[in-house]
Amino acid sequence: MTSEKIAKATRASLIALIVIFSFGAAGEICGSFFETTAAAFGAGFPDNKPEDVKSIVSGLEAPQPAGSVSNSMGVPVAILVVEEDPRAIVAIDLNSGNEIWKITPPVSSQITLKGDLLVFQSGFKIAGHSLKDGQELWTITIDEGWNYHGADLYGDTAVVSVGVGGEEAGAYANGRVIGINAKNGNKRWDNASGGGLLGAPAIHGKYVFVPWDRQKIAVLDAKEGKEICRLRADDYTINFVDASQSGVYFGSAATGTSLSSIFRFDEKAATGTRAGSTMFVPNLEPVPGDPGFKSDAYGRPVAGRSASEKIRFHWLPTVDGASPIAMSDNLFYLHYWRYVVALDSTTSRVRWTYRSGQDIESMRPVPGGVIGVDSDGKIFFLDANSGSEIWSKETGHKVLTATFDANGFRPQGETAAAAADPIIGLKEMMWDKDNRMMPIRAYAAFLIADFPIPEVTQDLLTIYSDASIPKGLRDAVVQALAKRTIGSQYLVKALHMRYDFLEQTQAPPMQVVAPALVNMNDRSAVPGLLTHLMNYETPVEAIREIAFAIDALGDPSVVGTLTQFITLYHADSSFLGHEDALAMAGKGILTHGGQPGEQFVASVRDDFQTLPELKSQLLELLDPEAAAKAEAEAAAQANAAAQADAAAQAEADASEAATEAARRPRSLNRQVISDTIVANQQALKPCVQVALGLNPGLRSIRLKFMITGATGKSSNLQILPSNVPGLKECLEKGLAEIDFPKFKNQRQSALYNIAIQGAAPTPGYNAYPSQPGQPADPDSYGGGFKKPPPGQPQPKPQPQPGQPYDPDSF
Amino acid sequence: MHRVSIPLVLVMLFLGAWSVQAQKVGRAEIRDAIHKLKSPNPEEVMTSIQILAASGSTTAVGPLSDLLRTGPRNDITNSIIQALGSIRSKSSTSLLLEYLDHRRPDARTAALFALEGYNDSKIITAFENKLRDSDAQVRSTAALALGKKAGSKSVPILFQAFDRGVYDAVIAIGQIGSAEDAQRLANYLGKMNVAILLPGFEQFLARKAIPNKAKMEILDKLKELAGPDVKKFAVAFKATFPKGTEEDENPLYKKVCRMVRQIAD
Repeated sequence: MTSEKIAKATRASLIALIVIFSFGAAGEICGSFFETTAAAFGAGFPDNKPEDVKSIVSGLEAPQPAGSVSNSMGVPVAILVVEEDPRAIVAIDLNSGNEIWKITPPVSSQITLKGDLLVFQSGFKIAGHSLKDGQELWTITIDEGWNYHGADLYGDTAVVSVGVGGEEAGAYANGRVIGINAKNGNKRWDNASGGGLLGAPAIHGKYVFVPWDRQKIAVLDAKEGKEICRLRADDYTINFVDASQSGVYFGSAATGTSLSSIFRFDEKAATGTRAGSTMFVPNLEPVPGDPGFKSDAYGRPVAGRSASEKIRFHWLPTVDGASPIAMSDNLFYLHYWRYVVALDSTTSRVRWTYRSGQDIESMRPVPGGVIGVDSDGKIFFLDANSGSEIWSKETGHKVLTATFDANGFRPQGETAAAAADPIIGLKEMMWDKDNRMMPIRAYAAFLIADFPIPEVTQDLLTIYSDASIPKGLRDAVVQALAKRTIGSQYLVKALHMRYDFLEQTQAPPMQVVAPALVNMNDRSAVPGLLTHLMNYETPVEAIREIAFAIDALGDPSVVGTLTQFITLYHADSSFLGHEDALAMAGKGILTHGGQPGEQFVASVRDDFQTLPELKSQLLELLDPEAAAKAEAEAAAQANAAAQADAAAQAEADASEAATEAARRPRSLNRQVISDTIVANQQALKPCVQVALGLNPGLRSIRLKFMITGATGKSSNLQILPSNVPGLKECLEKGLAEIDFPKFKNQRQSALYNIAIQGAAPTPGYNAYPSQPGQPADPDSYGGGFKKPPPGQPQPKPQPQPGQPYDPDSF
Repeated sequence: MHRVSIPLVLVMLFLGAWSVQAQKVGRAEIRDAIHKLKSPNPEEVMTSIQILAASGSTTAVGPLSDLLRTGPRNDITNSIIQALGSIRSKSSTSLLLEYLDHRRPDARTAALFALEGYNDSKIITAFENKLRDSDAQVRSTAALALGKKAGSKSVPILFQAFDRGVYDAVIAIGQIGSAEDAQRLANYLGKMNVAILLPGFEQFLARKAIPNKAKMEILDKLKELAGPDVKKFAVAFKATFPKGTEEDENPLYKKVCRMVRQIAD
């Protein structure tokens, strides 16, 4: 977010200060959107207290399996946001397939559906609508720049989370969570983070769970909004919370190398660590697109089509005595654009795959299957057992996004089909011609490689040998083959494959096939391996692995070919940089060739034409002790030379440092300090923006700190005003980025005054007066950083009447 | 107009120089060169190989083959292959055939050149297999070598190579193909750059074994296509006829003259 937008948000917040809500219900409050009514998100609140967490867990309602719909009508529904002019929200009764109602509010977020309430952002409002007829029940006005993050409902209490800032605004972020009467929108409590984003909340019984700054969960009393427990993640991030009949869960996002995870909010969660918590993480290779188990709680859930929503894991928590994180039908689902891949929640192995004709805009697991909707408005139901589409309904709408309340929905008269063959589904996925699907096509190679069926090895080789497949898929197949431990007969058979330019055929990926054959200990592969060793088309990168496999699986019959190979290439430049391949062949001769073999290898070592690196590697094979001794001597010589160089360099550096130190001033004057800060003002500016967002009336910020002469680094920062949350920490970080000129004294104190342009002049050597009559201008809060106009003398610090100026104190 | 690869030209010149000098190398010099093949000085070894190649003496084949079998460094390996090609001893055939499967493409190319001068049924098959090579230079050299040595049985695989982009195969097709093959080649006209096809037609038109009727058909099809490349080709072909050839006496000459007159520059 640009500074201009933040300034606008600040202006809007000033206007919002005079907006008064009227609340009529007893026990509910009147006040502005920005009024904090209960203690929460404080800096001193203890986190990860086992007794606090235990108290919350014991106060949760008993877990129940996912049962039926949450709305009071008892009707499974789909709420679609459809692409029309104007954009519309349509409710569909899934039992009858009929449209229940259609409304056209300016919807600008995804829709949260719980019970009889729909919540979404509509311009500068958060709107609550009735599921029964779509009518608006209430609205909450929010300021420009603030976004809806999510909502949840329990009984008649709804909680709504909104936020501003985040990654796009640099250091600036703020969040607000509001408890309201779900029926009329009357505010019951209201809390701001004061710094840091709040994510979509979850409410369960008498507790509200609020993810905070990707690291914490604040548990609030649902009645008053007061914080009563805090969880802090030490070695993972918190990207969502989820509350359902079966319990409270939270999750972390994938990181590229690790998969996203689900944690259960139980007593173990107080450890704050992955290892100590009750956690579910799929046993899979990292998935393309890094899908999470729920939408990012801190992101703005946009109403339009969202790419991030099309790469997601989906799951439906349920209750199972054997598993603390149980999933309905023992499945979780990977949604990747138009694919759904059902994975066993115990083994993470694929149970079935489904391909839609169009992109799937939204989907949700329900007991017994999956309900989803594609971009052409087809709502479909997939049977959990088979993945078959056993029901569908064309709505005729172009769908942007959708949400469902469909637990318990089962298309009438439809029975489960026979279980599908996941291998067939995965092969079809790999052969998909849609290159947009390339990442999931390649990923299917890993998924299929997990099956302990010998024929899968053949399937992978068949795909590899097809000349038309893209490189990304071929590379994935190679990696997948490396994981195979059964099906060696197919690998041996594949050794007959050859590169042929005219026939456009490929040799098998020998750098993978050879070690796999060793893993499978299949000695019948040796003749084929020898052929590939001698085949000039075999990539030099694969030769070492082939030679290794021949050594491991071979017998004395391999010595002849290995000897021929080394003789032919021991002096040949085609093995420069790959001498280890020749050395490995030499090892095979030593293993299987007896005394004559050793003599031969020694003769190659002693041949003056032999590649130098090969010579040393053969020396090591033949006489490891002598090689180690020679290596140690060489290392000692290199070390001695390096030490001599380092000593010479150190001497030169010391001389240069002494010269530089002699030139340093004894201390820094105010002008130098001021100039340095002005030159680095970008480091402090975000902090000023945050402070101004929290306190629009701020006129100046005074900084007092120490500078260390030898390093030019600051420390011991004190600020005024000192009651702006997070400001001191932010400025400390900013100052740490600034390198002041070094000086001879050990330390010196420094003062600096950041004046907000348009504010009244404040004492300080760099406080420049604003123009007479000019109002405070939040757009110009960085004015204190500006240099005075040319010719204008810099103001000197002047004692104020009755308030003598003391540079050493605030 | 005849497209010949640069390495081929260089090797041909090299071998030609050796053969010219062949009679000048005396026995003592050959003995000395054979002795120096065992020298630890690579320069001395290289010089000796060149002397032995220039001698054309079959006495050198054994020592040169023995040295090659020890797996010497690249330049020595390639020089020995060229020398054996120059000497053309039948006893070298199997050894040279092995080097068609060396990892270095330049060694394979050298072996192809070397074997061009040999007559052995295995060689044609080996050359055909080099059309399957991953290296473009090797494929091209193999195609040209087949044009010099092979019979019409090799034409189908040359067409297959041509379809895969081995454009020098068109020359070989022109050199060994039949009138029907010329017709097949003409079917490519309009489907690909005519400049790629013309070297093949040049070969067909130059061969006495190809009936004039087939040659007339080639010229007719080229004239239909016309264009500057065809005009240039026609001018060059016209120049191959003896001075004083009359259009009325020679229909082929008459057709090419009309092509030259009627195709715009």
